[in-house]
Amino acid sequence: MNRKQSQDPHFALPEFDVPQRESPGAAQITYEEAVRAFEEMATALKLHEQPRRPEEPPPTERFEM
Amino acid sequence: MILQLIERLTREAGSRGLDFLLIGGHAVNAYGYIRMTVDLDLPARESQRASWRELLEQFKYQSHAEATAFTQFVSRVSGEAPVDMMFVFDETWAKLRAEAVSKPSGQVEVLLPSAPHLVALKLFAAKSPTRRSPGKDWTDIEEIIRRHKLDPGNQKFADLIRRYGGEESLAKIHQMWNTGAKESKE
Repeated sequence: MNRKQSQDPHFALPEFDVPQRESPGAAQITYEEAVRAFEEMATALKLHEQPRRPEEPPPTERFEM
Repeated sequence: MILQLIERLTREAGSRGLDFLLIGGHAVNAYGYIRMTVDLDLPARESQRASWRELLEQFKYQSHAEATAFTQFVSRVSGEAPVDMMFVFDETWAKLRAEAVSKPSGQVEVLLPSAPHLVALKLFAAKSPTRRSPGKDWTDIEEIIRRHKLDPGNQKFADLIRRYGGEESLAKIHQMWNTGAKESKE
């Protein structure tokens, strides 16, 4: 995956060329390719090391059918 | 790493007779709408809750938050995805399982809820009082409906929407559907 650094010094997050499924003429990407691309992005942004959503507790009700 | 985690969980759960489905962002991705997600969301049977805790503890996970029907797990290993378990009673499990579809994920096959059931689960999540970003659920709902051509004019599907989202959600989905139909004609 190609990666380039943002040109904006105030928002210098890495940018990723995630292939878009619906871009005209773009090749279809698979679920696995997408997950790998997002994982690389999540690792670079250290998303897994962020505090674990303390503001969103789990739902209080049970799902029933 | 998530794909490897899904593979390991699928194999280990299978060897222990533990059932689960893949929902949340990964299910939406597997259905063809690619969007960012970090967590792994897995519904499983309430009757197997203790066994799931045991399995995840062996995978170096620990409970982060607990509610009546949910346990959020975080890994003690840096970089591993959080796992949110949603526990349902056997009657609900049987209905979800009966219409589940199998999709490849890495070296294994995972089970996903049917597209209408995934919409029901998304409506349930969006309506939860603890939900901070129901907009994300609605984007997913719109994509699932569009990609799977789920017509809210179908009585069975309309009843499902009404049950989990109410009349307001049904009206919103009708609007989405009509807009989509109009766009596809243009």
